[in-house]
Amino acid sequence: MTYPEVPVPIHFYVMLATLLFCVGIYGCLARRNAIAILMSLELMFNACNIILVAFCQRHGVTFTLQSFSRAQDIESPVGQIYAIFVITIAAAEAGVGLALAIAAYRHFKSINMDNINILKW
Amino acid sequence: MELGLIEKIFKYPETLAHWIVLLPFLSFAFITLKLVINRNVPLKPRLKEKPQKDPNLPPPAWKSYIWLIAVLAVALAFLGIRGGMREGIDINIAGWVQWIVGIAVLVAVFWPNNSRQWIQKYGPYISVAAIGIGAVIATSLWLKTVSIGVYSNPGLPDSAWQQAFSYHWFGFSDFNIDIGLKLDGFGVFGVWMVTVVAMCIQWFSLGYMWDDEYGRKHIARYFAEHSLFATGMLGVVLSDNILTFLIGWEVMGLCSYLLIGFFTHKPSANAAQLKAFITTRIGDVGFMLGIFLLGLMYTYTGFPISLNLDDIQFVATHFDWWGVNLGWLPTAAALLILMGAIGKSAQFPLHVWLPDAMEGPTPVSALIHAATMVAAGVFLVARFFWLFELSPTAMLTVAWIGAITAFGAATIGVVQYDIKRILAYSTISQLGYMMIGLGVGALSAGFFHLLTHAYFKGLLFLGSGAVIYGCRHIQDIRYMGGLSKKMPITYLTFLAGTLALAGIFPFAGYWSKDEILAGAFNLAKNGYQRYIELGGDLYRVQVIEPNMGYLVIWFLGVAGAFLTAFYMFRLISYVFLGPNQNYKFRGPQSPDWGHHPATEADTTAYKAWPTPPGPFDHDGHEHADAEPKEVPKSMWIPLVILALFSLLYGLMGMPFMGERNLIANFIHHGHPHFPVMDGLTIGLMIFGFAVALFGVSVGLMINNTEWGAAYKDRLKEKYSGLYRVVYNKYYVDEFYEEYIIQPFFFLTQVARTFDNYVVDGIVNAAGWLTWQFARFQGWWDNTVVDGIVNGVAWIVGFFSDMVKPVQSGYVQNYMIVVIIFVLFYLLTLFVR
Repeated sequence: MTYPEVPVPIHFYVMLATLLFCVGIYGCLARRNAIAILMSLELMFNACNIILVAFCQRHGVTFTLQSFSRAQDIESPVGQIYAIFVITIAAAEAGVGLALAIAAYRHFKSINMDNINILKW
Repeated sequence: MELGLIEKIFKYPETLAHWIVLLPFLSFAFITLKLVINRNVPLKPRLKEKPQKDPNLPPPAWKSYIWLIAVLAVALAFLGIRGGMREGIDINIAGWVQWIVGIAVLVAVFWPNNSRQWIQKYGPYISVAAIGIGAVIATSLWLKTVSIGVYSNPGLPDSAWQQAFSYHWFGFSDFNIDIGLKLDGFGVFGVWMVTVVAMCIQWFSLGYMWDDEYGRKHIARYFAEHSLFATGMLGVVLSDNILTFLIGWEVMGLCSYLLIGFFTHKPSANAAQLKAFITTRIGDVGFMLGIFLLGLMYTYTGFPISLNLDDIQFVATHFDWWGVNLGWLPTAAALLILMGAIGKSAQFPLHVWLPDAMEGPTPVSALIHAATMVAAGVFLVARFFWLFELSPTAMLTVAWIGAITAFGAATIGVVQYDIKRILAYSTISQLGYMMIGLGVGALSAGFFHLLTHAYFKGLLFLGSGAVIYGCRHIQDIRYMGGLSKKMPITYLTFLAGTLALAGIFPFAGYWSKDEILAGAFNLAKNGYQRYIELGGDLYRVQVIEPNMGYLVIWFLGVAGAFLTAFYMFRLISYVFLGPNQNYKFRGPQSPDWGHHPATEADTTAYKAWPTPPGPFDHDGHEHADAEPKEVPKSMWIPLVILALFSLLYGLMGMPFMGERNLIANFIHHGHPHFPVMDGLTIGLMIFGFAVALFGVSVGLMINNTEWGAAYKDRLKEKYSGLYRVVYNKYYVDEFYEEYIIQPFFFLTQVARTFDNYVVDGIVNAAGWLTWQFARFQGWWDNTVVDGIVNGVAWIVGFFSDMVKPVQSGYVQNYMIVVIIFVLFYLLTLFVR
């Protein structure tokens, strides 16, 4: 049997992304381990990626690409491109964050965020 | 044409005239430098026998050739000078002087004998030699002047002579200072007198100072100061401009200060030197103001300002000729210049320094009183006679001051007992005569008396020095007596001087004093006329009208002449005649102290000396040679020279010489005025001689006969009040003490009180106020300014304390804040 191609409603995506984002926020705020916080940050990035890709697919712009002999209608892949950028940056951020964590560990002999509070008045 | 030095001295002495001034100065400079350079080298005791040098030892190399270097230097200098002369090169004398002074310095520095002994031994001879060479040149100069002036020219060829010596010293714009020599009659006769008298005095000093313990130690300093003194006087006499005149004048003031206080250990000498300096200084202020007035006169003309005496005279006298009324200017200038002369020449109001100046060594008194210091004042008036001539007031002031001084000082001299003080008062008196001569217009007579007086007063002071030397530093004439047998040469020479001073024919003083008195008489009879030459015609201006009242001046002079003869022969009879009263000398405590009550003045001489003088040594034991003894040859030869001058010098100015009268021929202003021998003049001469003889006989009788002594005592009883007044010198010193010095001290007290309380009060009050203000300012700064600053900081701190917990350092806190704000932002998006 074939089912009619019913698109997944957009609020599903939004709800998923929101949940994921809130989980990330919660992890960022509640966890004391620096590694866990980095992981939570990754969750928030991914929630954003979901939003980007979902909205691009549903509300994306369609434009005509003029080639040599023919014209072709294509959908804009901006959301996906952004998502890939975000993933790249998230990877770089994870590298920097882990390096920081290692440096903090070397300095404080700990990566408990409660111990790392010297940058203040 | 080449001339040797000796030939030059006697043929062209005018080309060497500057050396008369320079040589004493060089000797002064040399001795002083040597003393200063070697000041730290102690005096070694002289060894009786020099240690024999080892003949095998070679001498130090450089020392053995120093004579060669010296000879070569001298030879080179001579060759240079002679070569320059042969080539007709004008040799710059001033340049040579600098070289010679420089060489003297070098010699003084590098002389191998590096001790004070050398200069102590030879310095005096250098000094005497310098002034002696000057005397030779001056004598030759005088001879040439006289021979040219009398036998070929009516006057001096002075303009031609003087041009040779005018030397441009310095100048700016049209103010130029040319210094040079003025070899007119005043200069030539004066310089001859100064050099001869100074030479004799220095010669005498050799023995006199060597005899004194202190003087022997400081003999080089003594002769250096002596040389400088002579330099100053020679500068005054020979100057052709006011500047060098003033320099010489002030040098003399300095040297009188130094020499009067030569015995630095005597407090009385220190007081006397200060008194002399300050008193003459008072006069010098007037002198300088007078010079400034003369300068003011130049502002009325278009002439470039000149300090030359001839130029000033030309301008001032031509003003008068042109009929321009100078008003008060000549009178004021003349009176101010007279102030200087009064101070220097010890005239009446300022005469007080001169008797005190007796504290110096006796030859110094001779120098001050005869040749240099006091003569300078009279010389000043004679030099500026053209100025006094313009103002009858000034002339009469000079005459009256002279008359008062001549008579008053003579009366004081009558009652003194200190041999030097008697001579000091006679000096003041004789200077008064010179002033009379100048004041009544008898210029040549006044200057003639200056010259003769220099010779015989120098002689008298040196004679008194010889007496003091012979009597072991006793100065009170009551304890002398009978010295004519002990010291015959001193007696005869002293007698010659005394006869000259008393005015006995034919000694020098007779001619000069008589001419002054004749001049004073002439003033009363004819007044004074000034001569003006205009366009070849001679005009006569009556300056002072004849007035019989001026006979008072003449009378005071005659009375002074009588007193002079009297007190001088009183002195002779005390010192040289009668029995020797040296045995009386047992000190002030002795009952033998004499029939006069001992006063303070009597004991001054004894107090002044650190050891009891007289024929007793420190322990009171009698010396073996306690008897007065004749002075050695080196001391009586100068006496004889001066005695010859005292005898013969007056012959130059005999009034019946007519046109051949050397004094009237050369010492004049304008046209020479030769004395006319009429009945009146001859009568006055005889009268003057009679008065002098009367004084001599009274002076001899009053001490040497019994009835004379009794009469003297009776007179003294009868006029005891007058005697006391005169004995105390008319209380002039006391008057000054009471009415000038004490008020001055009072003024200083007032000034000190004012200073202590008012000025210091203001200063302290200012200080106190500053302090108080500073305290307030400190409080303000600490409290208010710092309070504001600290308050701002506190407020900032307070708020920062409030705010800073926000920055906790926990990253998650910041994140919460960010999230809260983001949520808040989102809320604002939705709630609209």
